[in-house]
Amino acid sequence: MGVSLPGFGTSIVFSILVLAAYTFSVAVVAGRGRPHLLASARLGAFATTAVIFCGVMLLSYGFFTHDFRIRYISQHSDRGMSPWYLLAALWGGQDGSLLWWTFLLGGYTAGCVAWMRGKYRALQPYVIATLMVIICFFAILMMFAANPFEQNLAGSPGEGTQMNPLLQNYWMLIHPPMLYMGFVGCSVPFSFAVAALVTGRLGNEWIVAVRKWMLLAFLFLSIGNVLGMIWAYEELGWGGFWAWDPVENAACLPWFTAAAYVHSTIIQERRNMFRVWNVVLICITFLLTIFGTFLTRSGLIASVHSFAKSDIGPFFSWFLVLVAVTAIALIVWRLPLLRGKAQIESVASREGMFVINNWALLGGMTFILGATTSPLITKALMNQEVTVGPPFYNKWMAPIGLLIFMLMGLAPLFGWKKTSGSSLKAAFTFPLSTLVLVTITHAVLGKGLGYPQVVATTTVEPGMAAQVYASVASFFPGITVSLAGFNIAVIVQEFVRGTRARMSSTRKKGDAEGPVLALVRLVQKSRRRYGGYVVHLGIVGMFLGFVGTAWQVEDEVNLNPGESKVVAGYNLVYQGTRMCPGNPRCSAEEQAAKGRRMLFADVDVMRGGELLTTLHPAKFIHQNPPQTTTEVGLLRGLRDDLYLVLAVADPETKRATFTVHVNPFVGWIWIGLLVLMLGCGVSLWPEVTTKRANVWTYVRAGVAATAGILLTFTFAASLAQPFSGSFQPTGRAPLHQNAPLHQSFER
Amino acid sequence: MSSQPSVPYFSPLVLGLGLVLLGVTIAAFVGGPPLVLIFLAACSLCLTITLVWNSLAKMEAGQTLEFEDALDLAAPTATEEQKLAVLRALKDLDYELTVGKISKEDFEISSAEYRAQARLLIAAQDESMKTQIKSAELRVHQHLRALDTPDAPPVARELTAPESAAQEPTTSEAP
Repeated sequence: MGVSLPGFGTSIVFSILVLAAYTFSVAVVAGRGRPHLLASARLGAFATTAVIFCGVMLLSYGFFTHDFRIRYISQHSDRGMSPWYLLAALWGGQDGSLLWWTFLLGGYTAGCVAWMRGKYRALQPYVIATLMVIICFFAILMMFAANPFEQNLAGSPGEGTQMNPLLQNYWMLIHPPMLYMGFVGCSVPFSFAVAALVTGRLGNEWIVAVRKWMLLAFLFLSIGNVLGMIWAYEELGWGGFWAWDPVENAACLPWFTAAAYVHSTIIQERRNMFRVWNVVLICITFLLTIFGTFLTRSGLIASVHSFAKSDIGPFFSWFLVLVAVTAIALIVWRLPLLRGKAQIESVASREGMFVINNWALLGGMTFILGATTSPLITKALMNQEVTVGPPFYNKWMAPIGLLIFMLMGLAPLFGWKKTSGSSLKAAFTFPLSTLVLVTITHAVLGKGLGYPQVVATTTVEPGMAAQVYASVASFFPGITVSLAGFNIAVIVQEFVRGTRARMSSTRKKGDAEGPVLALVRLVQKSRRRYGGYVVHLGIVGMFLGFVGTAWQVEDEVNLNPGESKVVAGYNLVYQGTRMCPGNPRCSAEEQAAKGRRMLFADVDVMRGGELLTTLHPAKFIHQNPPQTTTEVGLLRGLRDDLYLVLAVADPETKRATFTVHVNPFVGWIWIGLLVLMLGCGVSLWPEVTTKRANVWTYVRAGVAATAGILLTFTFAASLAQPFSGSFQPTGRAPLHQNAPLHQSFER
Repeated sequence: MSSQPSVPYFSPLVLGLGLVLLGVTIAAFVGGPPLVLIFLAACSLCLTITLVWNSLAKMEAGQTLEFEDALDLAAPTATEEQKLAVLRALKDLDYELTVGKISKEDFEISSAEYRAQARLLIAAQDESMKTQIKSAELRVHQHLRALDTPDAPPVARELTAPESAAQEPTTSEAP
């Protein structure tokens, strides 16, 4: 009797559970007094990763051979999908995304186990055991609730159902994997925390081990969230990038605690303080990643991103409870060992600022968590669901965000322990002068340029307090710009001071370094510190992008072919509509499109009498699944983006209604992300020791460096590709010069 | 530069990866992406079996713990951790003085505090290790003496020889 792919795939899922359980058992025995078994546990962990990889390859094979006997494949792909989107379909649905999650966790496990070779021998067994428990959970989930290899009960259909058109987008190829990498990455620090708690080795050993893993997770969480913003901006067609949707919120929650941890761990290393706090932060971060996954999949809270309501919610609830109870029990058990003796001597110190920053980040996270789960909370308490919308989030998150932004600039100006008045004066002079200068310049020039310092905010809420708050909120755009200037000044000052100090010390030693060499060596020597400042610079860029929404221009325009309208300096000349395929003006690619009809409205964009580009906002009518999507016309710029949405078009008269958005500084969010990635890269760059170097060490280092550079270029190119308008991953989405990415969403 | 060759360690891995790469290339030419995927699935399954086999083999009795492993299993003491934190703080203090983040007066005060703390911690550490060092020395001594038998390996005899030589005059001087 032959073995079918669904049957074989299911047996592979079973094997994942068996191998993970075996590795868990061996690892625990190794930790409980038989350390020579560690080698077996390590090999077991690698074997588990290999079998997960086998499962992913089998499912991909099923997609590429259109094996519609497998339910998941028939529900998320058809024969017409391009290879790129067949690959994306792997994580485009619930069952596949769980296998993908397990695969990434397997990758992290293999990487972590390989990295621990010859290190952390006492912690290793429990790190492996914890990772295996998480893998076991996902294997159980797949086996009993969401098997990606489950067979279609009614037999194999002749044709599958295409993946949701909304997900057939360039960013969906990289956004979910990046976000998952961030989510899954938090498992490694959590495993180290559990290992430290179980073994009682709660000193700095595990903190040092976890440092880079958490930074890696933070990096991927940042990338994932920002790529999600880009996808929402281009795909959802409402003119913004963040709608405070529950699933978006769930994705950013661990980012807050990870950011808090990245800062508070420095205090433990430097001052041997905050041991309990750091363990708690890591556990919360991991719990939030599980909670986020639970929220996306349980269907408890309505969201545009949610997978269909499924049976896996209770599994996540129980796992969440198990993890929380275990973590609390371990922390309580080890509390006597965790308590430190050192205390903060002054608020006017680096650690004092870090503590406030931690509370602000945690406050932001708690607020978003509370607001996101408000329907559940109010249902439980008052028997009625209260859902809060974006204005509520914006109202409260704006001051919290500004506080974090301010502290980001303040903290580097303080020294450890306590700082005297004279030192503070010296540290604050340049940044404060810059702040004053930026504030005055903004006040003088802002209004004329269309970016006034004060943007009147109104509120419909009754009461004096609401009115006062609205008045205060009017100043937020100006405050943000001023703080951006302050932050940039602090970062520049830190680099200049460090470089000068290095130049001076090397001159004294008789080996004088020039400014460039001194700067490079300075960064080389303190990568974490200066990489962190580069990350801060990226955050400044993002804040500038966020504040741009205050000056957004929105207009609705009705035009007949040949008519024009000027919006925020852009002259929009409407050329008419064309239905593709069929119209002779359609490109060859548009003519070849299958499975949908596309109604394009061509608009020439001019400024100062010069033609900038022609935009093609459109409506796509998909056949399988039957769905209409709105495609955005987008002209990007550093100063602003012109964002054109086709609201209605009459194919007979060709009269069309457009929604026009001019979004200032949105591009700075994406630039900020690139800078943040650079900063994290600097911080994560490994230390190279030449003590035991031989020819193979240099070969390996050379290969690793080349691979790293190539990967960076590939990633940068992948980010830049859609902007060039030349990316054509699918036979479905015709792209031509200046055409948008074919994103849409009917809200 | 170490003379230890790392080639043998990497050879099976490099060889395996090379073979997989070759297989992937051939599969890509012959059958396109589906064949590549099924080939990779087969390879990972073979790898899984090999790894599980080796994992079980390593579980056999008689596997001894290496010295480095045993040494690493000893947890660093709280005093050691505190000492490292204080030394790191001293290094940071130097940096902050050089970049002008703290004044000379603040530096002097904080530096003196940290140095005093470091001295106390180092003294405490030495004190706590005194008995352990003595015990370790005694054990090494006993072990080496035990090896000083006619059938002991030459290395052991060499190790014990200077000690025996040093002790000889003492015994001969004895009444």
